[in-house]
Amino acid sequence: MRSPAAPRSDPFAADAPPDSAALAEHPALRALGRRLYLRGLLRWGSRGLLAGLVGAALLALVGRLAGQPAWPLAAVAWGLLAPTAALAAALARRPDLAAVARAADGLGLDERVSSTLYAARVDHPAARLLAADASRALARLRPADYAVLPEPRLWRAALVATAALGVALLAPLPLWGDAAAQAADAEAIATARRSVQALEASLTQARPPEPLAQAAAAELAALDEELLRARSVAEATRAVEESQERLAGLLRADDYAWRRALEGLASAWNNSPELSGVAQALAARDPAAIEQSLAAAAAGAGELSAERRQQLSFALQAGANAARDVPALASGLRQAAAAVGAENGGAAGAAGALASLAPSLAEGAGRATGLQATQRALSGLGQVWAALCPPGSGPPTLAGRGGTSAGSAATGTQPSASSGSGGAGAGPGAGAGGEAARGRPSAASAGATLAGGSAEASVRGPTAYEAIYAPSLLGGAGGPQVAAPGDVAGASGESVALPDAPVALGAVRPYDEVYGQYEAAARQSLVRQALPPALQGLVQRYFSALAPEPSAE
Amino acid sequence: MAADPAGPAAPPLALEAEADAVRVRLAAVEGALREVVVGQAAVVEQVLAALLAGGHVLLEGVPGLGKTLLVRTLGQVAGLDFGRVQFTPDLMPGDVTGSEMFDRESGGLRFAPGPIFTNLLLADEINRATPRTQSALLEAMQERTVTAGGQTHRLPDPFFVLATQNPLEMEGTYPLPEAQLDRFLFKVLVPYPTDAELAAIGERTTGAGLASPPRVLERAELAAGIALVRHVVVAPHVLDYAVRLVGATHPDRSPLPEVRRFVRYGASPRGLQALLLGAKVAAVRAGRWNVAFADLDRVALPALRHRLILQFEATAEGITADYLVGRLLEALRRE
Repeated sequence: MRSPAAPRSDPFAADAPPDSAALAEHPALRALGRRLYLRGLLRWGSRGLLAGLVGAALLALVGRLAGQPAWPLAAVAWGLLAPTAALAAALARRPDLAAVARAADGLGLDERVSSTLYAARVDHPAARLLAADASRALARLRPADYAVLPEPRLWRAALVATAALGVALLAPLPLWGDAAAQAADAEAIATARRSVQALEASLTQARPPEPLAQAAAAELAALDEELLRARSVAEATRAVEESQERLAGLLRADDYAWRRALEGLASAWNNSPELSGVAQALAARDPAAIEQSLAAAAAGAGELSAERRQQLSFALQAGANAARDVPALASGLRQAAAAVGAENGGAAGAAGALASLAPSLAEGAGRATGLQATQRALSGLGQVWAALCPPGSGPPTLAGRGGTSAGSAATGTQPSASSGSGGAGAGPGAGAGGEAARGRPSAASAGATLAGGSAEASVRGPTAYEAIYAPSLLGGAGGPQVAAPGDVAGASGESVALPDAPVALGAVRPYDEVYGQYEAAARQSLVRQALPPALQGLVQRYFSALAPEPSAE
Repeated sequence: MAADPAGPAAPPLALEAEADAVRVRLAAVEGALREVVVGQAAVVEQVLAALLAGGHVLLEGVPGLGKTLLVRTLGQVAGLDFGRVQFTPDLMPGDVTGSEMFDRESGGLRFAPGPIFTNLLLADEINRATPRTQSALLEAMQERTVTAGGQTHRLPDPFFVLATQNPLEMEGTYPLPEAQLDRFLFKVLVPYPTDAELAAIGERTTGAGLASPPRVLERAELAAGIALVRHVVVAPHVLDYAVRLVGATHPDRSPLPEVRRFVRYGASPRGLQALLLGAKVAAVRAGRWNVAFADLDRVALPALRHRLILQFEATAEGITADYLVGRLLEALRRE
């Protein structure tokens, strides 16, 4: 308030109009504005860092306690997002002149600058006097006195949050409530998905592509999607079971017939000099090799002696017998046998007859290959299913699907009756009922869902079954050795070779084929709900236990 | 200093000159007062601030601290007419404001002005008068008029009431009603002098002659200074702080738990006016044309302490209005 002595060039001279723009250009205020901006960046950055650290610590803590596998990603994402967003917000917020004026006032200017701005805006009579006073005060201003670093409490809080994050990351923590079970479920489902994906890959890699294998691969891809959406082992198990049913529905009797025919042919022709190459190609299920070997056999047929041609005719006839399950193939083989064995038949006729077999045999090889691959997938799914069911648990949710039952597991010889769709059973050794279980299988529910035996068996795990009669090796090479009745050890007698016996003609059916057929039939029964729900799980577990080892090809 | 105060259209340089003159005169008045009144710097400063703000002052202190001396000296040095009324229980309103008397010459009633018709009225021990007499001051303090016999008489300009009261003797006193307390711009506490000041008082008042301060301020100059104070700028954020400060004295609006607990009624809008006017005077005296947060803090106690009506619980626990205002000044952000 001293008498004005500032030069006229000074925009804050008492007789000069006060101008906010001129005030904004004051060097001291510009320097202070830069420091204010920098302080804002640091303050918001530290706040963002604090928010990021706290959020990451919370996410890590909750994620670890809840057993959520995605917590590291979420924690890292939040830890980066919060400071970045805060810095971006701070970059966009440049301090305006009013804020700079207030900061200047805070450095001992006693609200002179901000009051000057206000007085100029409202055209106050004392505006010019205020401006002159502010100008004199600004000459004393030292922008360096304005602290750029945010207040220490922010940094202290950031340090505390860092320590909290470290604790949340490193401290051993128990899992909350069902989190452990959920984590185990998630792990089991993830393992099941990996297995399903491996099975799908093995199907899609099969060459040449076969429709049945492709359909099976598509089914496995769909199952993989369902497993991805599954939130519990029970859901995953149900999805696997349903997929097994659909996969089993893909298998047709024709496919089995073709495979039996090809195996019979391979066995029947194995000792034939002219057709041994074809037999090897059939055993290998290689369509190209089949065509090549048949072409080679046809080419050599013209040079055969009459006796050799007769033996070739017999071999073809034996093949027709072995391929009797495929009438068209058997008919073709018989015609070829007749053409080759005809007295007046020429070499061209024999060659043509052999060559005509190539397309159908190649197609059959493809179908057999597809069948084998689908059965491998089914077998693999059985193992996936068994892996999803923890030891000691009962059968999954196919048992007792829907409704409740008035009865509990019935054992012994007394008839039991139950009501509701949960199932019913009657008669000796058959019991059913128990409450329908849609949730995760448990030992307790197993007792109620198993039937036809003692409830005790259900708690011994999926492999605890009574010994059954088995005519051959069960479960593949690793299965138990069981002697079939009638093959008495040490028996003596005359051994008679029967060239036309079914065994010699290739009528022996491989185990996986028998298994597949029976399992398919069982699944069709399950689909038709011919069995009480309480028994359906037992059937599943039975076939899973009997599933052959997938052959490595 | 010009007789006519600087109006809104006054050029800046004239305003600056007015301000310089006011500051010089105020310093002179203060110096003259200090020649007579020993110590009591804060009291003198606050009384002069109230004088420039055009408000009344309630001085509270034990007897013998120089309250009357201060007021009388102020009237002397400021060139103001001085009147003193010793308030007693038998004092009637007419004894203060004046009354209509029979005029023998005209044969009619004539208004005889009371001692209130002066520039500077010392209402000594105001709490000893009855509420009826105290209320007679209400109209005079707020409207600066006196009504008697159906006629309104304007009081001299300027008109200041400087009332005193003794906080110790409660026997036979009538505490001032809230409405009247609110009309005082400041309530100034007169503290007991320090030993050095006491010694100076003893030396100065028992000597051969008493100092007689000169008149250093004209009435018109005082009026100009009062007008000049109104030109001081209050920026919105400073005004907001003052509003928050006053609002925070109310228990239903205060962020301070102690206020919510101990205060029955907070400061009225007159409290905000007192706060701003006092801060403007402080700004002028500091050589500024704007009110700073520090100015508001400086006058908050005298402007607000008598406007807080405390609960009985506060009295029981020894909580004073000064303490609460101080806590508010600590708690509120200046932004």
